[in-house]
Amino acid sequence: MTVLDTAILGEIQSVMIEPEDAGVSWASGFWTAGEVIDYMNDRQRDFLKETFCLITADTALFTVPGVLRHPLPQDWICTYMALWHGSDGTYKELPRSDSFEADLGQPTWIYETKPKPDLCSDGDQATLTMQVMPAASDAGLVEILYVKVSAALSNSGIAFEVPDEFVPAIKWGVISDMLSKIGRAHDPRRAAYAESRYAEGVEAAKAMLRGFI
Amino acid sequence: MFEATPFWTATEANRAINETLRWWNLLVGYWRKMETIVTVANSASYLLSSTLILPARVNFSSYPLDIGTIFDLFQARPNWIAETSSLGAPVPPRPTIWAPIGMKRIAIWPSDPVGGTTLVVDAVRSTPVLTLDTDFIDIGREEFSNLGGEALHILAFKEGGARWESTLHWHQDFLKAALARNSMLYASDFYRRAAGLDFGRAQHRMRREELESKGQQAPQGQPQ
Repeated sequence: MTVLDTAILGEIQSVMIEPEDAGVSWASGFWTAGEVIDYMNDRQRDFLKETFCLITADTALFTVPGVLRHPLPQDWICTYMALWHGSDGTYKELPRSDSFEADLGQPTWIYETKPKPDLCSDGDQATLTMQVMPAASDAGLVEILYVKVSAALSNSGIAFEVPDEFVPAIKWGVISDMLSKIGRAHDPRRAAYAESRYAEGVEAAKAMLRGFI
Repeated sequence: MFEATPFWTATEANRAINETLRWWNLLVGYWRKMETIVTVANSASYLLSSTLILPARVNFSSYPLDIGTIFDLFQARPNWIAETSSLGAPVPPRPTIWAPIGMKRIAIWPSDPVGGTTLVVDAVRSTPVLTLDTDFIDIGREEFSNLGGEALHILAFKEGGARWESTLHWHQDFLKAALARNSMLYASDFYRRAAGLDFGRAQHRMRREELESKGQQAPQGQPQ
């Protein structure tokens, strides 16, 4: 939230015994600036997806009655929960399922409709769509709580989206990626250690969300 | 061995100390803060300020709320989001349950139909950052050894090799101190292993104590 990408890139440069310039260049030539920035973005997004620590709420999908599949937001990473917000103002949770389970439990789900769907799935149809099962005959909305893609980090002073306490874990994840690269800087021992520090951050976030202390 | 140029700078030392404090706060929730939120009419969900990293306790106009999850709420009251405390029984006349939604958002049930009432959130707050040598933090001296060890261990990673590996036990000591304060982590298989508390049974030789003390071997064919 307050830690900038430039600060973490500088820290990583010092750990890797590179001249510090906020990640603008990597004098050793072992890594490019873009490569390290990509590692950083990948790790932050993976952290968000693994932990569900930041959830975007109150997002209604473009829901058309009688249609099974509805587009998800372009910044969607994964769904925390899906709800049906009926036209009468009531809500209903749509538990996660899949087409195969619906085939077994409710074989007519593809062509029959109900005022409110029973289930949802975002795993076995086209990318960036959510399927409701069966389709709704009512003019309600699918609302989702989801993890969204974090703003792209760079080497220009953009803040991490995860709380500051998780930034060190992401830093270790980036170091792991860098030391895992096949090349002259390849260091499996330290890469494995750095990966374990990243995992400690992920596990701590999960423990916190289960209930703290 | 003489080193004409220091391997670590003061900036790196400060970074290691601040990183250690962040891990400490993350693992044990050391720094806390209370935040007051004013309810909005008919709103079930509230966003926390950016200085809070995890809500731990919530009360509504001095009444403590029980913690739940939004999944539990949907199981018990499928339309809980739309329910307000003015609906009458079985909906209670004031909010009684709060549920975290990630780390920066909470939901309450039932929602306040009028708004303008205070929700007090006790939460883990962001870690203070030390920048000057004269800066202070409120932490006991008894924690210094573990925190100092962790900071040195973080710094030693830069050098790598045997000197860094010889500091690995400082990280385990740090984790053990955190586990002693946080029972959730203490119950975590992952963290128990990371702190060196759990080993596979195969790593322990099972021996009979009376034979061990006499320096004798167990008879052949008997379990050891």
